[in-house]
This record gives sequence, C-alpha cells and structure tokens, in this order.
Amino acid sequence: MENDELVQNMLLELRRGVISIAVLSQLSKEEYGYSLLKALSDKGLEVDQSTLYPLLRRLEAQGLLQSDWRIADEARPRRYYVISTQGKAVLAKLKKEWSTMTATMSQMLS
Amino acid sequence: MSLIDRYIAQVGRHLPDKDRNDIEAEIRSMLEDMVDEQNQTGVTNEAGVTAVLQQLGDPALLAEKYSPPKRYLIGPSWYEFYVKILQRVLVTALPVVTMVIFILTLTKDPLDFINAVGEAVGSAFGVGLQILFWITIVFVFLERSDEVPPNELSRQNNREWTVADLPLLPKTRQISIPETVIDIASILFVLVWIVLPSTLASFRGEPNPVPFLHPNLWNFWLPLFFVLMGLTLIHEVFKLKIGNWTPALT
Repeated sequence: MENDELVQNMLLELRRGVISIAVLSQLSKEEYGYSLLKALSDKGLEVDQSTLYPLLRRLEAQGLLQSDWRIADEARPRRYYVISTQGKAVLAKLKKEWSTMTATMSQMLS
Repeated sequence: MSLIDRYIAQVGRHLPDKDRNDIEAEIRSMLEDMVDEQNQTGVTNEAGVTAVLQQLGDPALLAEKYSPPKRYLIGPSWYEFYVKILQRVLVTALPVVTMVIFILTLTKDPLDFINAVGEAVGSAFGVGLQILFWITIVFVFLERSDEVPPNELSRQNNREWTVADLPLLPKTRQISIPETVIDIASILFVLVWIVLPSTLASFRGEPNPVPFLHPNLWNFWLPLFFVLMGLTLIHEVFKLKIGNWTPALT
C-alpha cells in the first residue's frame, strides 16, 4: 500500500518531463487541445486534460509553441497550437538527450 | 445558466485577471469538443456534460494548474538576501537606538538609572519590531513582483562564478561584534553616569552640586579608574576592528 503511493509519486515526476517532450514532438503540424489529446492517446500516451491544457500555455509562454484562435471546420473557434522555431531547436536537443538517456538506462536496468 | 457556464465561472474565480478571459474561452472550446465526442457515442447532452465536467474535476484545482499560487511569503530566491539584510540592519540600529535613548533619558534625570535602562530596552524592542515588520513587507512585495529578478540584486555581479572568486581566507570572526559593542557601550555608560551628574549640576549653576562619589575618591582612585577604563575602551575598539585574536590583543 505504502509502496503504491511512492511509485505513483515517482511516476508522476517521471511523466512530467516526458509529456512536455511528447507534446513538442506531436505539434509539427498544428492541433487544438482536444485533437492533440486524441493524437497522444492514439500513440499510447494518456494525458489528463487538466494537465495538457495548462502545459500548452506554459510551453507557449516559454516561446516553444505558437498559437492562435481560429474557426476551422466547424463553426466553433478553437485555439490552434504549433511548434515554433525555437521549439524545434529545443526539441532537436531534447531528442538527442533522450536517446542517450534511454540507451544508458536500458543498459543499467537490463 | 448551463453547467458549463457554472463550471467555467468557478475556474475563472481563481485565475489571475490578465489571463482570465483567454483561459476561460479555451476551456469552453475544449469542453464543447469533449461534449461533442460524448454525444457521438449516443449519450444525452446533459449526461455528456456531467461526465466531461466530472472528468476534469475540481475547478479550483484546474485553475491552480494554470497559475500555481505562491504559498509562501518569501521564497528561496529571496530568503537568504532577506535574512542578511535583516541581520545587518538590526545589528547596526539596535545598539545605536539603545544608546541614544539611554543617554537622552539620563540627561533628563541623571540619577534615575533604572528608568533609563527600561526606556532604552523598551525602545530598542519597539524599533526592532518595526524593522522586522517593514523589511518583511518590502520583501513580500519583491517576491510578488515580476519586475525585479532576484539574482540581479542578491548577486553583486552577473558574470559566471569561477574558482578565482573563492575568498582567500574564510571570514570567521572569533570576536563577535555585538558582544564587543555591548562591552564598549557599558564602559561608556559607567563613565557618563559618573561624570554627568556633577557636570550637569555645574552647568545649571548649582552652587553645591551633590557629587555622585565621595570627593576623596577623586584624588587617587578615580583618575586610575578612568585610565583603566580608557585602556579597556581602546582595547575593545581594536578588537572590533581586527576581528580575530592576535598575539598583540591577548
């Protein structure tokens, strides 16, 4: 029982960083919040809406995403997010770090 | 008012004003997308809305994720600087205040030593509280303003730290400043206490001032006493200046 809580907390910390990278990687083409949520979930990463939406705003405030309100297919305005130039540069570095880190970790854990 | 309106109003209550409209609009469009999705699976609109809101959870918690509130008065980026300033001001101001009030009270009534000590300690306490209060208030505001990045004030220069920045010797003072200041202050108190009454009396032109000490003492013991006091005073001042025990001081 006690361990469950520990595991939950550590997973939460682990996921926090991962989700940001996942979001950046999926926004090379623009998405609105809900379509991004679907895209992530289709690829196997379940994210809470209450986590994803504030995260999108934070990434935009950091200059890694751009967004604007637009009326696309339906008559409902939505906020569309897409990765910025700075975001692309950051993502490239993160990707590199990620592959080093996962290689190291799988070596350690095997 | 629909459930969605009520939910958004609850979230908005906890949001900072400048982002409020934008975040509210975004949450609304996201909620509508989610409800659409629910409707396609065949549930009624009302049931869909309820399910979606339930899934999003407590509106206050959602708002908190958008703008995490500060749950502290003075955060880690300011704390060290705050303590340093507070210490410096208190150590400088309190002895001075105590001293000044003591002397002022004593000037009014030279013989009422206890009253003077009481006044001095009382004022020092009051002034100490004032200093604590106002400095804290200033830092609470600094903590909450985005204008002043803490590192620029607390660090004296912005350049990168290098090994060369290490001080040559660790600055430890073996002789504490407050103790020495108290020593000096008490010597001065005693001197003033002895000399002041007769000086004041002669200043007021009283023909026969009541001396504080027996006149015979003035012949031999008092001069010796004053010389000793003077030497001690000089010693203390040097202690304060040098800060460490050296062969010459001991």
